[in-house]
Amino acid sequence: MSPAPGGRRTIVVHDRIEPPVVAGDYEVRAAQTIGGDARLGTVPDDVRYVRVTGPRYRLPSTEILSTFPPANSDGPFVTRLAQIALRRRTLPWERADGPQRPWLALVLLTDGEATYLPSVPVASAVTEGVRLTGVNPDGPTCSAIEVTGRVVRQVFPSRQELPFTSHVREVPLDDTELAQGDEDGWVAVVLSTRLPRPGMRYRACLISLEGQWSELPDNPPVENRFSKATVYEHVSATTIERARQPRTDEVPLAIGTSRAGGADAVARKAPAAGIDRERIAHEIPPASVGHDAADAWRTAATFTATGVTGDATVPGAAAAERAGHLGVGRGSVILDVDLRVIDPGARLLRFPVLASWEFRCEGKKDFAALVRALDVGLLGTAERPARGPTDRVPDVSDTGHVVLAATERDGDASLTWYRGPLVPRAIERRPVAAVHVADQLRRVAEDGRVELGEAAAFELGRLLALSAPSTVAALREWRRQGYVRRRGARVGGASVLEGLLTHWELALADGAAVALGRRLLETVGDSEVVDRVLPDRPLVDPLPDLDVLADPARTIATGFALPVADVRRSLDRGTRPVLADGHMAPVSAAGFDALRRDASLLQPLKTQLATSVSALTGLTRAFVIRPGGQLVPHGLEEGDAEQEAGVEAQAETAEEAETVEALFPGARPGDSVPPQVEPDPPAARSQRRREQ
Amino acid sequence: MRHTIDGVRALEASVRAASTAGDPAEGGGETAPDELTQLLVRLRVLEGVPFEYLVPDEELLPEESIRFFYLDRNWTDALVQGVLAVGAVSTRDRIDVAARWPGLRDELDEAEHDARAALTGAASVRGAAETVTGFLVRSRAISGWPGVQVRAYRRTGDEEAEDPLSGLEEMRLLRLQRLAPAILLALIDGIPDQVHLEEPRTGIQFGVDEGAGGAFTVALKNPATGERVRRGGRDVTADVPFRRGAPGLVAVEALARALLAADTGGVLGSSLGPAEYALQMLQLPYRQVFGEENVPAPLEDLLTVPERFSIIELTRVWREA
Repeated sequence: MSPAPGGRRTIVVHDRIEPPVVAGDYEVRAAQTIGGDARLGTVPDDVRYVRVTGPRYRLPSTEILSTFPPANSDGPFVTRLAQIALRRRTLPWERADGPQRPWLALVLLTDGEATYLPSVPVASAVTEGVRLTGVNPDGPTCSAIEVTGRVVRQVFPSRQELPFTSHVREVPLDDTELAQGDEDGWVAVVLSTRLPRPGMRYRACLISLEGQWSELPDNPPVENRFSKATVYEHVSATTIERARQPRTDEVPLAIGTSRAGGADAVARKAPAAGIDRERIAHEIPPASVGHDAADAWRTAATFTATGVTGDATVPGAAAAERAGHLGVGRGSVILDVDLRVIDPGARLLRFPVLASWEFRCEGKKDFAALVRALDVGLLGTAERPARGPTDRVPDVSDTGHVVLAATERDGDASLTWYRGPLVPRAIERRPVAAVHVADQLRRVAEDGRVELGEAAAFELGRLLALSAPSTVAALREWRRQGYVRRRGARVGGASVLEGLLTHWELALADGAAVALGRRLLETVGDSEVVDRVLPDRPLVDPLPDLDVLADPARTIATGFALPVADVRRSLDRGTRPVLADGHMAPVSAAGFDALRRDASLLQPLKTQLATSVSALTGLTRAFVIRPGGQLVPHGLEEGDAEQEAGVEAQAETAEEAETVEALFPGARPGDSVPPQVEPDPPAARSQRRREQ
Repeated sequence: MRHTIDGVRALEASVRAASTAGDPAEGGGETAPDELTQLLVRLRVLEGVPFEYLVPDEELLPEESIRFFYLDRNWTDALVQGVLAVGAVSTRDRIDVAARWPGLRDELDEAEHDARAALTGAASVRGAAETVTGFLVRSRAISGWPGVQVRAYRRTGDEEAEDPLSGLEEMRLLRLQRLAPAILLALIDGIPDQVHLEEPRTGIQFGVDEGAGGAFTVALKNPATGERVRRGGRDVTADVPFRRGAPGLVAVEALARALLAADTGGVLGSSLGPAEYALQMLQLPYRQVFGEENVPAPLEDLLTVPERFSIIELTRVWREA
């Protein structure tokens, strides 16, 4: 055997397994003699009767493990011998005449070689004159075949061959492919001896030879080649057609009376005996009965015309059996000939059929021939035929892309590149990058056409997910859990910072606080802990930072470099803050005229203003947090009156940059934040939105 | 001084808070729920993907052909991301998806190895993603023989004499399915050196060999091993005799004698019984081996623009300009 996965397995084939006793009635007699003194008397024999039974006319389908070819299969079985595997290892020898004479044989019969009788009384399932004694364990009826002596001589195994057709196979139970669910691993196998021919249909019949072994051919002659396909090859097709069993008078009860009323052909009145047959003759067969049955209907008409009616030639009982079966349209389509027509005067023999199935031998190519002839290639390549039309062959690039016709969004017809997941070359996987819409995966090729492979995949994924509500629900639940978990972490981090800020009186904006917190935590915990408390990912909060407004006095005082106490007092009382000379130092010392003449005198003031503005913008979160938590203010080298407006815009830009960063990791402008305020922030923003 | 002490206390509290708040077991876990992972893994092995997406043009898979391929990870990644994009409507959702995607991708890479484990009962395997390869067959051999056996092997050692399977390690299949009666799809976890397509073993078959010119022969087999007896580099065979005038009936007894006559090496003994006869008629399933040839070297994926040049790249270009 070819090795099964996990090592080699062994099967053992035995010639036969004979039962200790064959089927029949037995008397078991227990006798006891007492030796020595005759006066001690005798013990009467104890007699028991035992009946050994087994399948005789029918085989329960549970006894059959498998058949080959499979029932109703089509295939090139020209080199295969049909076989049936039986669960009971002793079955072929249970009613045998001897070890060399198993009572079961598997015969292949094709059209015109036999009459299949699906249900006959067991007494008439054997050839007339043969009588099987003993009990019948199988009920009053069974199936049988009726064949001529010629068929037996040409198709049945010979007496010498019969022993070769049965053997017993012992297979390891753990090999499911071989054991096929058998309980003990012992299987009796019956082989046929006939090779199927292509294009023919066969019925394999497991027949009982009980009591009829002597009918088998004895030492038939041998030749090296055979040319015949069927036994009655010399009989003309018309004769075989004529021999088809009429679907006799009982039929129309099952088929067609209701339909007959509508057909013109049946409108005419006819004698009661003939009406049904004529009706059938003109009836269109129901679709379910099929082509073969249609032939059979037609034959019925021929049959009537020639006057060879079934009733006239077929003995009454047999006719009834056939009619009863054929009328309901079961099974046998091929073995439905009357052998009296094909082979007039031949002796007819009958054999009980324990199991049978049909198959069709098709074609000449077997598996090996087909697989060997496979055209081997890489997917994503198409060969242009050297001759003939090439318009069916698509344009294929080296990378496996195919040109497909597409309709653009604006309705224009165009050609696009497409490539599925199956590609002819190894392709490097891109680094992780999140994608949110299919258009992010659209690519434009050098020739200007759009490449849509991955975009199509994205869209397909979306549609597949949407087609299953459970998928959508699972996604939503997963996302929700993530939010809950992260919110928990954030609240935890915030409470820590709150503690810190309370103790150190740190009034810091959110971003700075996070950065500071990270710094502090890093001094005590490892970076893993820090990451958990303060996720690296910036928090995105659309609300403005209100810390600036928490203490207006301090904010103003810082901004104008005034003493906090003064400002607070002024705010409380509604008075103007008192400006001391120190506050106005540059002006009072130099005078306005001097300042007008020499603008550089104002430089210290400008510097001071810039510092204040810088501090203010720090409060409005205009900081950049570098990886690692370093807090870097935006570069504001020059004080400028217009800068305040710019700072606001920049704060917003920074925030937006973080959002973009989150959406497109790696696409972030990085550390190279433009030192200057962007020339046209609204325009820039709108452009960025478009690309998102 | 007081501030410092309190600060330390606060830090201690924060570390405590961090160690509990961030516990994956409490917070629902970073990993995706099993149900979702399984679903995405099934997608990754292209389950549910319409056939037109796999083979966009019939000419790529003509009749009676076998086509090998690599699986494009970028394509399947896009497919999975399409699923994740469902219901992500707000910026916050998208940030969430973007944050989870790298982890999820790794998770799927690991789970992918077991895509077919439930079916075959194979042991679970973890580890980074392999290059997935596979093939599509379109043939009457698929429609006529349901249950074709597919095995893929990686060469780990040299082939020993007489045993073609030596030095080969069987590889895992990620998918093996008939997409249509005549079309079979197989996905292999890795790059195989050999792929075997084997006739289904529907029980054991008996029969004869059909030689050239329609002659039928039976190859002599050693009853002890089941292997064919070879002499002079060829199988020892016996012509099949038939019953005269019969439609293809094998003359079994004459065949047995012919086999005994052909057996000059004496593997059969003096007589041939039913068991030996059955063994001589045994037909092993046919096995076709593909591979051990030069596979094309990986080529730069040069459609027209560099593979990495995507909208993300365009974004960066625009920003830096």
